[in-house]
Amino acid sequence: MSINKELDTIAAIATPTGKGALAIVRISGPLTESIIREVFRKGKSLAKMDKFEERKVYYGFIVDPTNDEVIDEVTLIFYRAPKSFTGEDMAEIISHGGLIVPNRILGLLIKLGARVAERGEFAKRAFLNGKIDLIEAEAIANIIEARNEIVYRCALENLKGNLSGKFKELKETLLDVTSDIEATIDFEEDAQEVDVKSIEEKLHKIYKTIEEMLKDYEKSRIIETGLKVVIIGKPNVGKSSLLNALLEKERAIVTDIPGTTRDTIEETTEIDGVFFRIIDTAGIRKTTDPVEKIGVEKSLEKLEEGNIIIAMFDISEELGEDDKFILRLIDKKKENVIVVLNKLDKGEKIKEDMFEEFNSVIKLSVKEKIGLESLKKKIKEFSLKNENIKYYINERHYNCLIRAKSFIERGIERIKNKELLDIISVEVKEAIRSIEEIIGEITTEDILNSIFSKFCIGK
Amino acid sequence: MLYEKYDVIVIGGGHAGVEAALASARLGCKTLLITMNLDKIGFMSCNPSIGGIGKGHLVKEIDALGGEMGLAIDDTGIQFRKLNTRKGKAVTSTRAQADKLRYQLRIKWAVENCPNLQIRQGTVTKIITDGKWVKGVETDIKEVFYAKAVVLAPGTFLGGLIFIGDKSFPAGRLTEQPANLILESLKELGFQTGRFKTGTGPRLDGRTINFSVMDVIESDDPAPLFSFKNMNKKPKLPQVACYITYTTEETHRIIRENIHLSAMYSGRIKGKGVRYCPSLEDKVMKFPEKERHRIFLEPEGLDTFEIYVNGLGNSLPIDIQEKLVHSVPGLEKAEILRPGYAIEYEYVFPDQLNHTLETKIIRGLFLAGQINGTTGYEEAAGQGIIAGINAALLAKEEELLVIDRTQAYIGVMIDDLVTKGTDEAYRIFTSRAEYRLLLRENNADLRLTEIGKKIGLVDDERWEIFQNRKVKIERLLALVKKLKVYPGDINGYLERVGTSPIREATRLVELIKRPEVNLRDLKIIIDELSNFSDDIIDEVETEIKYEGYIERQLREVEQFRKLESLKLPDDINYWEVEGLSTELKEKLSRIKPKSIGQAMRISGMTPAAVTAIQSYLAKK
Repeated sequence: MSINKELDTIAAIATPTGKGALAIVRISGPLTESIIREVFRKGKSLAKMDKFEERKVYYGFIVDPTNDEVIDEVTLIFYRAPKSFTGEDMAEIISHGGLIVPNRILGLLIKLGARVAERGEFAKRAFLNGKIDLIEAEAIANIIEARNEIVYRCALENLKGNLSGKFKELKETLLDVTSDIEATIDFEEDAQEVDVKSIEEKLHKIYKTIEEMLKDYEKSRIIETGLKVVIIGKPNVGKSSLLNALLEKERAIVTDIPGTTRDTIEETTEIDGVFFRIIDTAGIRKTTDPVEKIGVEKSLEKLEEGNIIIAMFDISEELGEDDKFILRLIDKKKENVIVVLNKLDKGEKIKEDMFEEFNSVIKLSVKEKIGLESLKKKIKEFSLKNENIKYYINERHYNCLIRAKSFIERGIERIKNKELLDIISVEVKEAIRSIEEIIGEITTEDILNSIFSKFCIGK
Repeated sequence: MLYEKYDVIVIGGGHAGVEAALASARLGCKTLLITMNLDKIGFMSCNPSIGGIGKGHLVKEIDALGGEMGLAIDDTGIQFRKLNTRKGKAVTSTRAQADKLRYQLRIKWAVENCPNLQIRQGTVTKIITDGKWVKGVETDIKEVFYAKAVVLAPGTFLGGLIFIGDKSFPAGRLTEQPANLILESLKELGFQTGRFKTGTGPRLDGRTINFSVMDVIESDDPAPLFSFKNMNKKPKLPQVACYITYTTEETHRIIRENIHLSAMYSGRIKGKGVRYCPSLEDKVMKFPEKERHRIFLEPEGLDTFEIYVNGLGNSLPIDIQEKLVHSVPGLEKAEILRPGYAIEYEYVFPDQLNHTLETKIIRGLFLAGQINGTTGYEEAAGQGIIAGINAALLAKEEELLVIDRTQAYIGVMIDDLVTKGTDEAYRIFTSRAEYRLLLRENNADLRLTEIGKKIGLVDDERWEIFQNRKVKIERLLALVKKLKVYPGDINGYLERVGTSPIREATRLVELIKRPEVNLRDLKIIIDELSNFSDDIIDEVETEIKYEGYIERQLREVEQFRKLESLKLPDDINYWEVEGLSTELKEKLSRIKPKSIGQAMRISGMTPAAVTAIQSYLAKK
């Protein structure tokens, strides 16, 4: 529980400043109804309203009550506590946009007793009033700030309560273990002996679940920082040119000499709203040059890390030994491979159907800028397919989960060491607290309640 | 008409009233104990047993403060056991069977022999007040007694109603009158009350029971006594066995077929029952999947054949009770001496009390025991001693005593009652204590005896024993941290208990940290330990084994204290606080939390509500 600033009435312009057809001014807090009663006049007749029905759209005008000056034509919706976003009385005034009108309306609300809201204050109130939990609050921030579509969609899942639900489920399972322990302690005479083995098994299952979720953290990071797109191919097939083309700038040095790129190059770019990390690798071939050899090894490493692999081949030449080696390398990762047949401008020596086991084959010419758009489309398509995460987990969740995991680990260890239930109970309760911290709630009474729902208890 | 003036009057001679009266008198206050029947002082209305899980902790805490319960059961116990020894040092609790009649006489003896304490048989019908302060009490024969403080501990007698099958009659206990006029007096003063229900099992003739088919439970050896004054002493009375048997499918069938005859199930009892001490009807109907329920047979005393049947509590008609009893292995031919019954009674919503157990409505009036919605002798006695101490301190115009959640189970219980109220009879559990590892039976004296001494309740003998124990614990702690043990001496033992042997001389403290090692076992190997008694060895072992955990809980205690220190004034008008729900305004106005910490423990409290209160205070 955190103790915050006073709960007065807040107001803010909810839409970005600048030109725009419409703007929304929001107000929340105990003074809401009395303020809008002052400033809102209904319909063309400018009738004063005594009472606002909740969740009804009113058409009318905003008027400065001190001099009856009409400020704008608006629609207004009033929400009565607790059925509002913040859980308080709230109103949304939809006015014309631009610099003048919304600011004048806001100014008027302030003059009548509201104060300018701080960043995120509406959402904070929603949290404090129990309308949303911490994860949902974070999701709202993510949605607003999302710069790529996957982040947006993951955040939306979290807002819908998907992740909170998972944590609540985790907490329930832990409470279950605690009630087993507590019932064994407090009701020796009546509760059936809960064998420690079953407690250990339950904890183990929870441990596994947390580990799974932690894996999603890695994926969540990828989504935030961008998927890794690794370009591989034999030397001089045009990898660096492709990199430059995707980045739309001359990043890598491009020559006709095979093996120019000896180290990997990594750059971030955005394709149609999605972030990617494009990695150009050294060409893969049998070589005796020790420096190039290191480069090749590194390429193979990158291949393992890649979320999407662009395997490049020269369409104007027959497949060589190196190409076949590359085909063997990507054989097990077919799912994530886009085959790119470059140098279309030089003619077609190899047929597309040689790659029929791959789902995606794109013919293009980097040099002549043919087919690049369909490659980009494909990459984006792949990125959506790659978004196989169940839970979008941020660093705060991750840290709490790591803590919960270590308590559970210790709990299991204590059981293995044949230590006693009152100590094991402490570890499990700490794990619960870590989870509660994630959702933003802290409680103790529910442990007892959970016991009684399950056991037949005598004196 | 009598117009005698006392410092403190205690109404009720049960487990709460007795501790209250003794505490008050021992603190030098001229005290009067009024009870409806002098023969029932310290009477055990339900089973003849003291202690149990969590309850044992309470008894030791009462003892550490200078109370009577522990001493009385030590003198009259006929079986002593430690429960939960395999579940943890913090949750190990002592339980004893009492010789019911001897226990009662032992308590009466203490009361009769206590200086400053007068006893009087009578039925109090009215609390006299001036509207703000309590002034005294009036009895049914129009006696009037005045006092500076009054402790009310009437047990289940307020509006008591007994049920056996379709028969019901007003009673406080079977064969005893209830106390209804005083209930009216309380309601007139503005107290809000609710109804609870509890029950007790039939008593059987031991000569008609076939014990040979039952499991036998014997006293532990050595028998663990309760009082810190009796550490490592032996029980005075011979020890006897208890027996365990189980209900059968036949028992359950009888219940199911006759459930409509049950007073409880036919809907005539309106009071809410205890979830954790359910009647057999409840057990069978609510847990149909359980094939059998445990029945514990407890002897009522050395000089009687009467056996208390724990687990057969019901409110069915007597002929059905008989069938029920006979359906249990070993009880086929058992004869019922007294029937089981259910009793419904009135309690006062405990959120109308302060942590001192003084009511918020009438100053100087204290409530203790079952009237506050609790169940159990130990819970009653724990409140009794606090109410008695505070009534005396108030009479002496000294600062009242509050024991908090970090100090004792007594503190946990009282804080729960006054902060959350209770909508079912409240029983203590170790899981109610968030700082459970700190609140052990074995350190109750370390936690509370200094407090008892400061108030003046701890006598010289107890103080000397306490100081001696404290010094010995420190000395042993120092010793095990210094003392080295050698592989040749210890490895045989280590292997026997299944832990790895040591290769070089190792400090004893390191070995104690291993879960497998039991310090008591080492007495025969390490000579130096023989200077220390088992209770000292146990305490030191716990402190070492639980060291890291104890430190963690101590840090949490700091956090708790911080929130408790953010005080809230008594006179906040919560109706003026903006941003609070009507429900919370009502709750807060009633409970009047003393601190932000307490406010946060009120059910339904939200962080936003705390903020609203704080901002209201800041503006004022």
